[in-house]
Amino acid sequence: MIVLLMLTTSLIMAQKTTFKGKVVDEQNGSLPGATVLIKGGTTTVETDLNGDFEIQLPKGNEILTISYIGYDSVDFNASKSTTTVIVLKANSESLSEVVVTALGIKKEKKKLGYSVQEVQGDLAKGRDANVLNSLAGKVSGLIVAASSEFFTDPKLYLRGKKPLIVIDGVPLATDTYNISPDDIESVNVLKGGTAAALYGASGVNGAIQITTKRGTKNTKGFVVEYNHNSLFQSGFNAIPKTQTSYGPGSYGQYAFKDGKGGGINDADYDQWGPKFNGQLITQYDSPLDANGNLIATPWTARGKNNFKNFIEDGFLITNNLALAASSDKGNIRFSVSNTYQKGINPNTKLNIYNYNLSGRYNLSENTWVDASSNFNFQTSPNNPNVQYGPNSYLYNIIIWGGPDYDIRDLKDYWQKGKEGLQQMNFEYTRYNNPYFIAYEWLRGYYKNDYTGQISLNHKFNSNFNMVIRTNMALSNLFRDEKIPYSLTTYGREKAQGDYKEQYDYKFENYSDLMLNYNKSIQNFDIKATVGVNSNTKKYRNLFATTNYLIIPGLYNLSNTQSPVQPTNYNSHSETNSIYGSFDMSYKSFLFLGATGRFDTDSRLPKQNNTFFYPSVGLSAILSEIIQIPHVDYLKIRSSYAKVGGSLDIYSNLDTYRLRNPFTIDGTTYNAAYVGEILSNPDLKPAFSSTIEFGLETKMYKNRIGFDATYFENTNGPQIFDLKYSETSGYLGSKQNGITTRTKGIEVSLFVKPVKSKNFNWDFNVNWSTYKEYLKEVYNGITNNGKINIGDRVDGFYINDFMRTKDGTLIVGSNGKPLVNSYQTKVGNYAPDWTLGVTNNVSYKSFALNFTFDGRYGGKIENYINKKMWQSGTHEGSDTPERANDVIGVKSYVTEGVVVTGGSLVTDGQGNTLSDTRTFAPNTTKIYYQDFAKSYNGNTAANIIDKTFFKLREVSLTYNLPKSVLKKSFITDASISLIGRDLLYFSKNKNIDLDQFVNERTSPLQTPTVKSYGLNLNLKF
Amino acid sequence: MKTINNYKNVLILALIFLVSSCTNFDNLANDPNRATSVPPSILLTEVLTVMNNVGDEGPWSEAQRDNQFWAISFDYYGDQDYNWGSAPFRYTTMSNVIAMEKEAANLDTKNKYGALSKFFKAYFLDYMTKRMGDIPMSEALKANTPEKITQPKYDSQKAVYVEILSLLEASNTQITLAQKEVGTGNVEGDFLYKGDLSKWQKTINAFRLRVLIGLSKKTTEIDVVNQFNLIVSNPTKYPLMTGTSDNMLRHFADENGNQYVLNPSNYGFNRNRNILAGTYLDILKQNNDPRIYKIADPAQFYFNAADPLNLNAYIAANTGDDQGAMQVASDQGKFSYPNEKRYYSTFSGENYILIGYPEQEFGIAEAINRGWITGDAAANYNQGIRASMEFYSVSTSDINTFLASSNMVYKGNNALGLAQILNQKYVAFFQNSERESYFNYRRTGIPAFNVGPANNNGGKIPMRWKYPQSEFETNKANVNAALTSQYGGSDDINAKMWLLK
Repeated sequence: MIVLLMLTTSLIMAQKTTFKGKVVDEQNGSLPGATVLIKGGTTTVETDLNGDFEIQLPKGNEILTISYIGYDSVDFNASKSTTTVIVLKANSESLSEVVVTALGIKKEKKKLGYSVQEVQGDLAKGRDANVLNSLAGKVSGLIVAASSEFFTDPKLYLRGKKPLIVIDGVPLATDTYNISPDDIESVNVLKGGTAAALYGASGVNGAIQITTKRGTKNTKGFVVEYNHNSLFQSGFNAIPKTQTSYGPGSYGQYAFKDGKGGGINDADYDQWGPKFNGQLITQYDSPLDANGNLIATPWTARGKNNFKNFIEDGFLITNNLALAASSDKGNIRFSVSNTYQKGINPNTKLNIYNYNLSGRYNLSENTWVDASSNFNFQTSPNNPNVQYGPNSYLYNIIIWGGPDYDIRDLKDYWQKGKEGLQQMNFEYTRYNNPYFIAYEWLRGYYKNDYTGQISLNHKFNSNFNMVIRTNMALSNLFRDEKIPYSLTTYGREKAQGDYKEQYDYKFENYSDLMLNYNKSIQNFDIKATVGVNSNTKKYRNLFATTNYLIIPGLYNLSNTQSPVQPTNYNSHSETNSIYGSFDMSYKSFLFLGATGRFDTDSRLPKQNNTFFYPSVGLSAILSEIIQIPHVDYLKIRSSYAKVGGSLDIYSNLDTYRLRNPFTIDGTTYNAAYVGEILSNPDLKPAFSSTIEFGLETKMYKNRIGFDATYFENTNGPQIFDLKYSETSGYLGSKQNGITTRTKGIEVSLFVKPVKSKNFNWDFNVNWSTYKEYLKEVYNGITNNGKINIGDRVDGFYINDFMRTKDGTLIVGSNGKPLVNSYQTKVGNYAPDWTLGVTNNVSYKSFALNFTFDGRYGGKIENYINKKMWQSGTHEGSDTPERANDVIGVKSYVTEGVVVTGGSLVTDGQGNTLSDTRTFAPNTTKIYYQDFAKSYNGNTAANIIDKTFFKLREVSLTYNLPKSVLKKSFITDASISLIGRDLLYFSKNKNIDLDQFVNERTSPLQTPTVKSYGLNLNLKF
Repeated sequence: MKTINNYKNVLILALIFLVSSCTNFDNLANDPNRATSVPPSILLTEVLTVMNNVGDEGPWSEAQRDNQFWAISFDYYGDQDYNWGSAPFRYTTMSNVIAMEKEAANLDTKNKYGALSKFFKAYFLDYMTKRMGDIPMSEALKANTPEKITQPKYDSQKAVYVEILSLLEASNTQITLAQKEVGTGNVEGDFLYKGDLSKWQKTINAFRLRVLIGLSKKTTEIDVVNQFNLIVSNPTKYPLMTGTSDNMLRHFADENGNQYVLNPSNYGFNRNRNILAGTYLDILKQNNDPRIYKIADPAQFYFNAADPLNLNAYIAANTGDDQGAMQVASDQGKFSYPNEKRYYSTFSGENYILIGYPEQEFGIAEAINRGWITGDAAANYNQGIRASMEFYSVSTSDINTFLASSNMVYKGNNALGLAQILNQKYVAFFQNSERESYFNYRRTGIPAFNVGPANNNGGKIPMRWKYPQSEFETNKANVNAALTSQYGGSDDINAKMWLLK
């Protein structure tokens, strides 16, 4: 039995008995932090993480009062036994909860002056390979931009900036694929710098805090939990659609000869070729006549569904087995998980093995050791490169590949008699056989992460305790890339194969010593913490590549035509800190909290490398002092925090940079150049501050409530590269300057429309918005590039089409639209607002949960749309004028005007000085191909809204009734039908906008698919 | 006592913790991946790479399209619309020149690198000013000096040229001195001349002649004529190139980072899209120039195997032609492409001349034609043609026949003779000497450049490039002052700079 004595008496009574108990809720869930008081006395204890407590009872005074925030207090007569389980009933009027705050310190949420949101719902059921993807829509102010690629962490934006991820009080040093959802006890999000001031500079943008599970037991003394999750992945949410009337070539001309430029447009081609009319054209698979010449074959659209035929169904299977036990000497939990995913791209799979061990051992009543370790192995023998280029399936099939071939004919990808040397394909210059890429261009990914944490806890007395904690994280990543003979990619057009290896090593140590002191004086409760922290980060990288292979198919660095070129990088930084926090509450309605932290950071210039930053928060529970009808709870809060920040390592040094070596006439030359940004020996730390105001309320007996926050983040003075005129010889210098201000609102609303014995329904709505403005730059400078003080920092500038004052397109003498050589603003790229709705409906043993979320506004360039217009595969390009192109007739007239006289005179930035132009309607007929490429294929025609919504998660759970399980060895069992990403709503169905938040253009992505499956959970 | 033991344990652990977290920060401040001092040779390599600028202005580059040597039919890979943007600055490269000088200051190779650095400064100042007009000079390159000037004012183009000429004089003086030093180290990192200072000296003086010829409209404002005379008349003090072996060349080969831009592995990308342009090819045709068979293949559509040398099968695309029409005609085999054997069969292609002997000879011929110096213009003119034809391995007898043809025989020190010189200079510039052929056209109008529907600059060949947009964000007042004083406040690519007035 473990007892966490937060407050205890120092008096030793002569006659005492020891009483042990456990406090649980109506669902038999343990209640940690419940207060156990000897009635009429001063002795109190709190229950531990498992709800267990132990108290010394004086003879004759054996009535205990057990209370817990949010629950009705219970009096219990402890004289008749020495152990018991006490059940507390939820109270609709007491409405508070305990949350984990910075550094893992638990505090009552009502006492906090800043915004904290706990993630509602189960993260394990509707899972994804990455658990953070399950946070989408569940926290106001948090954007989760999930990636559809293996081992790519989702991009997280909290109030528009990247938050810190914290596991059990320690910042995550590895990656988010390390976290098994089955090991997660709870997740809560500390928004803004206030909450995270104690984490130091890395917590400047807030923190996502994950608390992992610890050992527990049931009546048998241990709990075994098994969870199985299977998801089937199929059906595109977003997929670019192609035209199927025209094949490869240009202006309707195409004839295959060798795929290397020997025929007509048979190499590196567009898809503006001949119409499929069954006419005879020599093709890649045409038979040969007696002289070895190709015999023309009918030109038909053989591969209308090439991409769908290529992509396979995927599945994701996760198994987790956990064992948890506890005794009076401590507890232990062991958990093993395997995630196996078969990707939708052929020949792709990933495996994640996770071993987690955590435990606690009580050295004495007042001293215990808590430790945990996590081993994580991530492997994928092939993790394809999806970026735009001859490596990408979209590039080879949808953008530049046509329907003239059937992809299923390409499965046997070696040319007969040239196995291992030459791929068989529809073209032999720029493009690759997609199956050849899938099975021969292999990109391995092997990562091992080890995390170990140990803490020593000691209570000097009931008011004063100490925690020493050290955490080490090691990460080894090995990647290799096998490029076969005859495969071409950018810059490797000799196509004689290559082999590459890359090693990354990361080490991080994070150690704390913390002293905590609590004291109650009359109406005041005081809680103070002082600590020191040391954080060490090391990183090493080694990369080597061949320069083409001598022996085909031998993937070894020695097998290189000219010497291997390795590159490497090392870094090492340390931060030492002293921090403190102070919380004081007056009665139960007024709360003051403050923190302060000194950091010494090795990356900053020595004389300025120590810096201090504070935070302060104040909150009041108005409902404790004034009665408002129907309002159960009303709290106002405000806080201010300042956080210091460092700079990118080695970025403030004047050094020479080396370029890649090259060879001329047999001699290898190295070049070096002077760093273009000058260092600044007087550089100071960066600072940012947050001020926020919040209002929380719960009404109508806890049936409805909301939490609203207004915040202003002043981000700066930052450390930035002050731009110099390049004519000064340098591009700039490191300076303290640039301040931006982010203003935003976050609202979380909960409603419980139905609450009854058998039927319950509640839903949460999370809505947030923010905008970031440029506030200051540097000593009298009023702009940062194109952004002027007062402007939003996310201004989106492009070279737009030239237009007349009334917006008519101006067409050049060649009949194509004219493009402005100066950039103009077309909008902002950050989203206007974000919305997430979660619903929980339960009826008897059934529970239905679903999450709907999305974002509104913000601009982005639809890159694949642009490329498909350029290539001629876009479904919209099948027009009547295009049919004229292929018979050699120019018939398209660009709608717009031509300049007939006069001139436009602008200043050096494109602002009009005088405009005497006269216009007449354009009448020049051009090929449709020329119009489509120059207009639709231009960035200016491809700026779209980022707006989208998704039905993110649906799960229908059936909990087997206890009555059924009674006679079995199983204590709990549930089965769920689950679905992820089931519906995608957007005007643009050819890309999944979910992945793009601050991006200005949309890089290629593996098309996103829907997932369906089931989850089985058993407890023994 | 149990409690005391616990305290002890706790304190020991606390002590271990504190000790393990102490490190000396001084060791962490320096970047283990980068150097704070380097040999001057690797800075020289960097500077030469920028000067050599093969990617942007080398063979078959966009610059050579602007020079109207070739045209591209595939709009996805480029165009020839002459709607020019800004020219690049070379100030950060000049910072590397200064660093090279600094790193050599304590070495016995000080004068060698010092002489080269003066040449590079002159080269890059000329590079920038002739593209844009006025540029910062007197206040430039001072961000990292005690003056800490981050927004330099612009100097007049005239002042820039005075400085260029004086740098070249000083460079010649110092390189003369450096060559007389005994027992000093060699210049390393030089992939153009392998540290051969005598060749460098010839190039420095040949380059000075290029600059002076470029100032042909400014003979009253700068002592162009006098300086030209001084150099040509004193080969001991100012050695000049004496033959093609003195050409400043870049060799290509199948080496890492050194492949010729057209080669067997990119044939399919370029073959029917890279077409010879009329401005160039038609000069060869008119003169029955044997170089045409070296550089071009006949158009398949017109080719007659029975009459393989018939020039009527050599069909160029006009730079001003609509690209769509050009591509359609190309797909029908109606254009001449770069000679497959010369340009696509190896990775070495041909050498890229940066500053060449033919240009020097045509420059001297022009100076004689203009009466700046005395001499036999025809001799230099013939020497220029001969050197260019030798570059293409045209046989001596063919060269002699060509030189004796009526079109080629020098027509005297008059406008006709000047046009001959400039046309042949243009032909000798084919795919080399970055944008010199355009600059000669801009100065003299010879040969006439083609303009057509593909031109998106109001039917004009521009006169200059804009200043980089970054200048308007970092040095707005000064760049605007330069625009006002030169071009009426507009960054107009059709406006004439001082050099051309």
